[in-house]
Amino acid sequence: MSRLREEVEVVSGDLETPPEGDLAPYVIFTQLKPGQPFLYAGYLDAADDDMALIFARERYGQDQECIGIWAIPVETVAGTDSIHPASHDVGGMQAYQVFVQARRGAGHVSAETLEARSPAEAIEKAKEIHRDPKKYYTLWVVPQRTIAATSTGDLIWRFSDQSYRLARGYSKEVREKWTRFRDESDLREYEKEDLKESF
Amino acid sequence: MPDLPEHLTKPFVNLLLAAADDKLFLGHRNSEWTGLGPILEEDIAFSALAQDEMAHASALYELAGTLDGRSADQLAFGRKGAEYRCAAIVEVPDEFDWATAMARRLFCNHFDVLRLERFSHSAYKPLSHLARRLAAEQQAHVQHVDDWMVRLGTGTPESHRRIQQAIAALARIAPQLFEPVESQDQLVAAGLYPGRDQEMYGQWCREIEHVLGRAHLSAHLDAFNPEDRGGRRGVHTVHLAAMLDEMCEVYRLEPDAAW
Repeated sequence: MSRLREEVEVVSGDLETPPEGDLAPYVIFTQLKPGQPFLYAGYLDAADDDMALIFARERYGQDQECIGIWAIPVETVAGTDSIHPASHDVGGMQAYQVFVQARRGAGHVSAETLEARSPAEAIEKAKEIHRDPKKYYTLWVVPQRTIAATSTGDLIWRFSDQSYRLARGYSKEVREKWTRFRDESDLREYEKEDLKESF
Repeated sequence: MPDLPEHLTKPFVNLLLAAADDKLFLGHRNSEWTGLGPILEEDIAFSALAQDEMAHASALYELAGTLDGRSADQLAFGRKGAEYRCAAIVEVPDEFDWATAMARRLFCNHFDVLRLERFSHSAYKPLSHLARRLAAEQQAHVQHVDDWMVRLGTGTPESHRRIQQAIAALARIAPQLFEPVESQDQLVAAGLYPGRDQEMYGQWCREIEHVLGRAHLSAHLDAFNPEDRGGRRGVHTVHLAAMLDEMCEVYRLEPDAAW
């Protein structure tokens, strides 16, 4: 740990603001290639849409090829599951984006958009589309206007190789070093044996 | 190896080192925040941005090394204090004040975008190629810091007061980013660092004023006085030595160790 940290003043006592502050949860989707659907990436907390997109880019977008990000306030998600009730009223006929979870444990994937008067109606319409044969475990619908998206052409993934930051990058690097080390020691052993035979 | 007039090699290496050193120490200062960011998500994002700066520094050191003969590690950790070419603004500690950390990034990131823009038109192709690659990532850094400026400037009375104070404090040393390296005018004339400092300075001020305007903040920026010798010519604040001692602690144990 940096010695500078030792100088950081430790504040104790009651927090003035609640620990969750004014943050709200967002669900993040990433698009990896043009023309492909948006895939569930994970959740994060942010104060607003702009901040959610910035955080999402750092956390979910950068360490893989990624060309688009959607950040969706969790409270606007309505689903067939029990976690996202379709009870909230967002008012009026509008476009909904449908997300399909193919099987239990899988991530949601973006599907079609449809017009509906309420989240409940959007879910009914989505169920109808995916009914026969039933290809989903759960469905989500989100009013399209509540989706914050990166602009086309925004750079999201890193150019510079920072694979050392990932578990797989670490194991790759260690494996390469180990192979190199073993090859060198094999060579030394071989040379030793070779010398013995020669003299 | 592309052509580079021999008498310009050393100034050109110093120009690359100025950019790399700025990014190395900015990255280091920012990395000190890992685990201490104001909220979890920002902690992750800010650490990632700090590593971007390190990655950029590393790429620039590699390039400088092809001309200078030293490795990126030797350039980053193996020089004496006076051989570094960074500006004072990346040297000073932020005392773990988030407003200071953000104000520093405001001045540095906007400067970096403009410097990379000039690099991307350099007659030295390896630099122009690298700069175009880095510039795209740098744009994301600018968005991040601009967003925070508006957030802090228009947040609460306390956040406004603290960010305004940090900006005023750093605005005094920020223009030293524009100090030229030795023989910079010859690099400009040779097309290695095309563009004019004066125009770059004007553009930098306009960009910063634009962001600060949106954030209901202001900064008083004086043009750099070329007579002042600072970091670009090896004259550093006391903070650099302390930071180098910490950063190079492991490297100096065994400078030629293979990692």
